[in-house]
Amino acid sequence: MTVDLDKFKKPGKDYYLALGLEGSANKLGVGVIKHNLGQLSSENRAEVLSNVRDTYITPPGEGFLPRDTARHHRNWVVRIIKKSLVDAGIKGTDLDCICFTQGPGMGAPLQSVVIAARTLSQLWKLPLIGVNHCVGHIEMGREITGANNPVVLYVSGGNTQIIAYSRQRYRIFGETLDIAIGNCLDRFARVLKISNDPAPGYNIEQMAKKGKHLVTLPYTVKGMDLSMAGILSYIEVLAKDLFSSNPKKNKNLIDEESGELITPEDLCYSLQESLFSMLVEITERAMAHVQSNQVLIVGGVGSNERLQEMMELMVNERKNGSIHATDERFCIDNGIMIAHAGLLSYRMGQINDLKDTVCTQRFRTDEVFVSWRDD
Amino acid sequence: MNSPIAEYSSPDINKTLTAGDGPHSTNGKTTQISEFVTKAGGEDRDKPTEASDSQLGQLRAKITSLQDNINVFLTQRMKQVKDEGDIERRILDDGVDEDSD
Amino acid sequence: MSLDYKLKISIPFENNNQAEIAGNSLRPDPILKADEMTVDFSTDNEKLICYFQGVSDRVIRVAVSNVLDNIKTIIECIEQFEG
Repeated sequence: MTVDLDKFKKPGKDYYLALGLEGSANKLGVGVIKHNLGQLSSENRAEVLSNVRDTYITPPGEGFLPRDTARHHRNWVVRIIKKSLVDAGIKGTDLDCICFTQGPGMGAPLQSVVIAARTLSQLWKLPLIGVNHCVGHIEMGREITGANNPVVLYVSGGNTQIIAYSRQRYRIFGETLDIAIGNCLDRFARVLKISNDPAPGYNIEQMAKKGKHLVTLPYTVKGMDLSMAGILSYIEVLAKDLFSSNPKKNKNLIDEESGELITPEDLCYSLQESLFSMLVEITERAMAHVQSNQVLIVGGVGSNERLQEMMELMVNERKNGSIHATDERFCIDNGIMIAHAGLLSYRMGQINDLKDTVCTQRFRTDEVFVSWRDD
Repeated sequence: MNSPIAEYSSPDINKTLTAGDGPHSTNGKTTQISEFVTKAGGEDRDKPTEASDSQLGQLRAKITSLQDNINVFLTQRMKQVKDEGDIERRILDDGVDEDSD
Repeated sequence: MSLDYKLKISIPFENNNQAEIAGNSLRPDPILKADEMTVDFSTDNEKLICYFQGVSDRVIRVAVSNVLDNIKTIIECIEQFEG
């Protein structure tokens, strides 16, 4: 890679510091990252100086709405920024730039955060960098795991995409045709009134571990893409029947072998197995398409151990196959990934004027010009 | 003048709205968490930070009071329009004479 | 449709620089349904002036409350991070 990442370095300084602000869903994350001069490599890794996060959690059975999520972000953003600077041991004026999630995501929460970013940019006289949330996940995943050019499975509450890099774009090879996998899991958790603390998906995963009987669910891979709304509707009906006064009336709720009634744990287990199998299939298809044997899983759902396990089984059957994933510090939405991706943009001279800092709910991953790579 | 102020004008009335005499706090009546959250058993852990004693701190609290006053005022105006619309509809559509003895 | 419902809010900062910063932070975001409402941000010495004009009270209320929320964030930032 011959891209010069230091064209815009400040004289006398041999490192960069960036602040990253993330608030596209119910997680508010702020982080400070440090890049030394020169190419990023295994000898020259980015350093995480701070990574602070606060999550807006709703009561069981409820989802998070934009209005209350925006209120959470607004009322916590200054405190979280303060903590991130203290943890990093720096002052705001030590930074090179301020990076913020410009999209995709929920409108009001995104706006709550960019207001703070714009204000700090003027107070500290620093440039602003708008970052695509998905690209943040991808670049952080690459940096933390060292996977240089993997097929990326990006799975979260708001996104489900299979991505591969080609000629300065992160191109979407496959995606959900309707809802994101995290959204599917979260909404099912609400039907079962599972706690949202720390996250509904995490609690489904724990229940699934206790599941014993596999319930057949629709399988809806469509070429390179997948659909999940139908599976959600189907399993919601099963759950409602399960809690009705006569659950055995629905034959699908009786395990064929034992004659026992299916449990909520069995439903969680079955839902995961179905959804994850579909993800494995479309990931494998993308790998064949681009002739890659590396998989990187990013996004909150990527922290699911069963998903990692199933993906690993598939990857291990390929020659030189390898699978990479980050831990919950980085795969769940966070500010450090925004700081990292934003700093890469900054080092290439890509900054946003104030008038170009409007956030947008829809922001396709392939809209971003990946100037910091030339492979 | 240290207080935020709002001047309202409309086809029928003009009005000046202020933050009032206080006491002012950053925890406004009209900026609470949605009711359904507390009804579902959730607690509000996202209240704004308290106002500090400085001028800017007090400004934030006064703006909260002004915001409450504006929200209440405009909501009342909206309700008035709606009520008048309801009465009109009842008279015209349902044939109710509001002034009959 | 004429924008007959107006609300002009005046926020006194400590100095003109702070008022300018606030206006610059608020100005980029477009108002939805521009034919139903406009907002104009300007400064008058240390005061930030927000001038809302809309087709109804309903349209104004939503925008005003949102802008005031954002102004409070801006003030909190200035207070905690200035200097």
